[in-house]
Amino acid sequence: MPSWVYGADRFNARDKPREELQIAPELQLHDEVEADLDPITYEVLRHRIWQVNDEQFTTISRVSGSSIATEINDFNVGITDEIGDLVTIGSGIVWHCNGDQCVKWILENRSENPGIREGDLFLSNDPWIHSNHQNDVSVLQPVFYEGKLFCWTLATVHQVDVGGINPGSFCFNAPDAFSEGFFFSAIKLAEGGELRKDMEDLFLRRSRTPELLALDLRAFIASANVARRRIYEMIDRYGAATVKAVMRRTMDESERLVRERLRELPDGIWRSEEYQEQSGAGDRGVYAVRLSLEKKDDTLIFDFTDTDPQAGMINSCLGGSRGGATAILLATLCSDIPWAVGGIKRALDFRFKEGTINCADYPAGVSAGSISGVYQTCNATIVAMAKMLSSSEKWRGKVISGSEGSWAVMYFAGIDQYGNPAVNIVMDALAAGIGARSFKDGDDTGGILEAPIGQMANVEYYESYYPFIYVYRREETDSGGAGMHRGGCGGAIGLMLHDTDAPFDWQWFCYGLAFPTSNGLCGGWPTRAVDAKIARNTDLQARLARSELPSDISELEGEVVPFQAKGTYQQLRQSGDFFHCYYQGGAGYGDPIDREPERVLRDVLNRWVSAEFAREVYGVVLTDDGESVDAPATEQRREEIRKWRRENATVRRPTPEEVTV
Amino acid sequence: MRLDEYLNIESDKIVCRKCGHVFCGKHDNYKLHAAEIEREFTDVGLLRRPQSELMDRRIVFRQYFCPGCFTNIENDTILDDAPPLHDKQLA
Repeated sequence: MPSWVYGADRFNARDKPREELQIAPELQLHDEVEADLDPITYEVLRHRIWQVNDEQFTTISRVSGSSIATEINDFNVGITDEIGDLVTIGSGIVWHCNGDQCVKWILENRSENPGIREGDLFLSNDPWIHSNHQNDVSVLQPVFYEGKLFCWTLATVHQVDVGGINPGSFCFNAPDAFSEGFFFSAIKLAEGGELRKDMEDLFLRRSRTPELLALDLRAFIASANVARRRIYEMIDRYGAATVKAVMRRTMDESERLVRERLRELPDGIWRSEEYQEQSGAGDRGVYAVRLSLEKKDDTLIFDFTDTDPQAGMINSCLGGSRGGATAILLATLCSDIPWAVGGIKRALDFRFKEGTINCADYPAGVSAGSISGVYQTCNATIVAMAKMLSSSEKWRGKVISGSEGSWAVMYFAGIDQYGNPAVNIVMDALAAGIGARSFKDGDDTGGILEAPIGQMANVEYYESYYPFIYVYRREETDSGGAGMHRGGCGGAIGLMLHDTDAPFDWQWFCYGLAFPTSNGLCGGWPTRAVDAKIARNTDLQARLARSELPSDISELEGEVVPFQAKGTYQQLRQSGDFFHCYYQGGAGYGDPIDREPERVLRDVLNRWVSAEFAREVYGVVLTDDGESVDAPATEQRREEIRKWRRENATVRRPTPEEVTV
Repeated sequence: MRLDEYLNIESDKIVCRKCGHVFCGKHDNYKLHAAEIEREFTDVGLLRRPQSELMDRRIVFRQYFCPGCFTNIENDTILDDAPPLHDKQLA
């Protein structure tokens, strides 16, 4: 439905084919293509474009001083053709593959006034144009050759803070986007190769961490400069028409490969329904993203139109949600196809309903869009995609069960041990567990599918700059979803306030606290639900003085306060106060009592599974010394489980309305 | 023809790959013909605090088994009042 805010719908960017774009005639596009492209040149240049993309990525990481870019890789880069269709994308946060929408919006809305010229840079973090939430800021560079727009380079980096009513800009108390962080709708950051000081001030002034944003801004510019120089080197050596032909063929080839693969899968419909609890502070609702994934011949239809209406601050906009679903497609079905999204997307048809959680109308709250609406969209896609792939003998090896069902966000704000103000984010949840495959276990603390090279920062980084120390960072027993193939374990961290008695606020939020959200496949179990709490007035200092190192918050004495899924700050008030968070693992695949007992034994010996869970869920009984499988007792226990199922299960039977004709 | 790890489609019927039990027609929701058990996440060790501390509605762990061999063929994390999701439907 149209937004109630006058003129807002103009910012609802959509991906459009070339022929529908309305671009000012004074902007000339480079569309000359070498017709006779030889295969050797194609291969050389295709890989060279990838290398340019890699160098874009590395440049950001090396120039920025923000831990998000230097340590965690919560960013990504891409290269598009002249109208924004992605020729390649980096391996950072893959859902940033939605930048095509932003380029097309710029072409239609900025080509006449203020114009798009050589040496320009555009900055955008408008979720209704493309961003996942306000923190994800993009800088887009048009690259010209002989006066014509040849291509674009893109980069998106999560910024620590972009204003709004909560430090960190995930504004769970915000009624709508007007109370959230700032966002800019593709403003001109640089002109004629010069950074506009007024725009830099506009960007930095609204943040609690301008020093970090300033560093990222320079990283954006350095990355754009490197990419532009490398693209010119290619053009100078091979000619613009040849480089453009390689870009076109790269996209065409990826389209051909994905369509060929789709034709090898059976036609059908696969559905998933993924929930999230609490849409903001004080809310107790449950919200579903629903996907009907239909495969028809060589096209794939993502129909999210049955998703729940928008609510609170957990919403995402179309660009972010489309990017999320695409990221999962790339990580699964297309894991071995070049990620030329501009070609792959031609085989995809996305359907969203305006006014819903993953296609919110302006000015709905979207500050948690990345880890809420987008993430739920990813979860729904992982499960539906896995069910589709599971139906194919040839492609079932690409099945991945529900993975890292939510992204626990851990922001802190206070005065550090040096007396300086500090705001930053702990991103350890990037080491969540990956879901089981159809032929093997999931990777323990393997990461996030949508972030192939995402990683948690070194402990030493946080301990050097901020007043806390890691008491533990470990894999969590029984957190990998049970199954014939076990899901990867999630992790847990325990942080102690240290070297200060100044109060330190912890803001934690997530979903999957009231129920697990990594969902299994074919009898595989989900992972264990998330958990987060603090403990104050603990006996931790005394324990450390006795050289006792606790491995869980449950071992501590003190006042323990759990977090809600959204909307609670907890304060650490003195050295020894403690923060604990467990983040989810991956889900299982197949019936747990079909798992080889020896593999369960290995899991128990490695503390990935407890002996109790092994007996209760896997039906595996160990010998008294715990060192081997008690085979007769295991067979008896598994028979007991089957008997329990037989005695307790009922068959629902369809009503006449539920019978499919 | 394969539907998933435990189910096949044979002669337009969904059947268990382990024991041959016939569930239903290939376009029907096999979950409506499966043996079903609904459990609380707190009871199966996947949740350590009461759901009611966090939300007003109830989401359950719903397990589906083959009525022939009682293999656990699928699970849903689902609202307690929602019907079984028809999740796999080949053309």
